Amino acid sequence: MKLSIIILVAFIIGTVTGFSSILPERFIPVNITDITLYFLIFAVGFMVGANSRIWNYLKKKNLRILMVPLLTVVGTLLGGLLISPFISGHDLFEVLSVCSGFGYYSLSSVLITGIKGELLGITALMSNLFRELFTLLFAPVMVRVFGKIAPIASGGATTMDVTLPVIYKFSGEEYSIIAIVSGFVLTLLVPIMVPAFLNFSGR
Amino acid sequence: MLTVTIILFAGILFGFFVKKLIDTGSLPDKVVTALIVFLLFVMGYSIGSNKIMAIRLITAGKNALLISLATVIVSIVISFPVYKYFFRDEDEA
Repeated sequence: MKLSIIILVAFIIGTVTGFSSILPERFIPVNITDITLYFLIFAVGFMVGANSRIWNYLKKKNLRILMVPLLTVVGTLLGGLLISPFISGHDLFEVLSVCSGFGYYSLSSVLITGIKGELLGITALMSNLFRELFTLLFAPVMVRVFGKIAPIASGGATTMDVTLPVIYKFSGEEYSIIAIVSGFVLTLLVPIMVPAFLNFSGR
Repeated sequence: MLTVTIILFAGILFGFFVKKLIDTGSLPDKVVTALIVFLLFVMGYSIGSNKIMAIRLITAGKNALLISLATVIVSIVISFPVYKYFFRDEDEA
């Protein structure tokens, strides 16, 4: 819990610092997020590779691992279906296309902007960014209340990169392999499902 | 995404071979924690400093927030029985 508070505080301080323009304009290089992420991913990969317990766990769980991306797809689309009547200006299939980004905000927002325009694209960008942020900020609470799979289901496609470190940290090292597999499967589904739902949209 | 995948698998391979040579102890874990905190600071900074994004955030933000909350909540609720019946028992064994 202590770490999640530190993470939340770091995010708030970052937002306030950025908004208030306290720091010089180029104090933080534009590509620093990518560089930090690459270091993180390498460090997590290193820990996964160095831990023989993880590989034994993978052998033990085998095909059951594929249930995790499946449940994430079902949960995500069901969530979109339930919230759709409360979304103003967009029909059900547009909402489902936003949901089908599974947190992969860069790809989904580009796809949606190209097919349906900027407004839905911005909605997709923010919605999927929020999904990633919720997972980063609330992973410890999710694990405590709903179990170790919960942050993997919440993180969607991001569990193979951005949210992988928090899953490693709070769900445990064995679950990082499940997160990588789940994130990989969902990442492959994004460019298929997003245009497919937009194709059904009547708007 | 390809870059991330390559880095991830490079890290896995590196860890797999290095573990046989040296004991890194808890150092990688501490590095990950520090990088997570730094990453969140930078993400917050980039959102806060992008005024155009901040304005559009208000316009489309309500819809985006509702969609993300619904997808996250339903996904984690559904994950609970799957965890309970297919994963937890063996974790505790």
